[in-house]
Amino acid sequence: MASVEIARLITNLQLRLPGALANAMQTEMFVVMDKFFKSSNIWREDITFEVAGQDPPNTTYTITPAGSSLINKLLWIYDVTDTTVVSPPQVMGGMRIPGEIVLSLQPAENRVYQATVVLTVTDPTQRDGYVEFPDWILSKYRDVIEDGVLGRMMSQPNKPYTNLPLAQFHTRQFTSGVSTARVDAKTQNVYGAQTWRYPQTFAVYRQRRGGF
Amino acid sequence: MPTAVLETVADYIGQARVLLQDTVPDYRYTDAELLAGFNFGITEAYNLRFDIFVGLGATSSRVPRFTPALPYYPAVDTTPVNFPVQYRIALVFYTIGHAQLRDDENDQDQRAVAFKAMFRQQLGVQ
Repeated sequence: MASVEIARLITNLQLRLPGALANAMQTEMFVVMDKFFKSSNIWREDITFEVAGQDPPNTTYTITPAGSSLINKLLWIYDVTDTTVVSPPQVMGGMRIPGEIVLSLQPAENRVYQATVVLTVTDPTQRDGYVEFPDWILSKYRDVIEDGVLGRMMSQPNKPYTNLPLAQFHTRQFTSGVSTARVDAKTQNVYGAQTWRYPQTFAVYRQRRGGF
Repeated sequence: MPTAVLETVADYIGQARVLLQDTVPDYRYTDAELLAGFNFGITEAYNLRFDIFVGLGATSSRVPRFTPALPYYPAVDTTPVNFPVQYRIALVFYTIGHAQLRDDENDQDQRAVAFKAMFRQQLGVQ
């Protein structure tokens, strides 16, 4: 994560938290980011995995994200074996344990599937002790993250920056910001977009062919 | 060359002696007595402001920093004291207050209580 972005965030926090220490803010920031990602589903990754045709039913396929992150939810799985297909078919499956996919229907031949998963933060942190996540999320939701950390820090008892009314205010702002992020994730950051599309796998007719 | 105030154990004890007006040997308060007060101050700070010690026990910056160790300083020497700059004077106040607790004159008792209160105030504890 860009150190300049983090430095700005910490500076803003220290202005509002007299006597606060960096290590304490790092600790609270981890919790805030975990809550943010689990509630908003904003951090996603596509992970491909191969399925052998001869695998028995209920075979477990283990997937791991690229960086330092933890899989929280499975959004969907698509069959991307044929790369020429415009709308790849969706595959049904589940993830009883995060990171372990079990398919509802085992394919008869070798296939390549792509799972889209929602991620959250995990240990270890970066070398400077700050939690690791994509840079663009801090740039886009800096104010939301700031509200989250302020809310948690100000709710700590017996500190020079303890302030319960302000803690409640900032926590409410954080919750509102998480809701906004959730909508952004659904609309993929497109302004005014609808969140639901007719499943393209059911689209039999094409306009170009005049409905035939 | 020192880069900040109160960096070593000797700095803390030396500053405490200045405020105790006990800078000329033979000392009224021995090094051992002041050092004991200093270490008690560390313990009290650990009790009141746990967040100060978060990260001090980490052996690697990539290891989770929730294993704070309580520091102990066995001698008045140039051992660096790992303590946030903005709270260092609080340890001096506690060392002085603890030293003056042993005296039984009324004004010394009041000074001891005042310095202990200043310790808590400096740590920002309400």
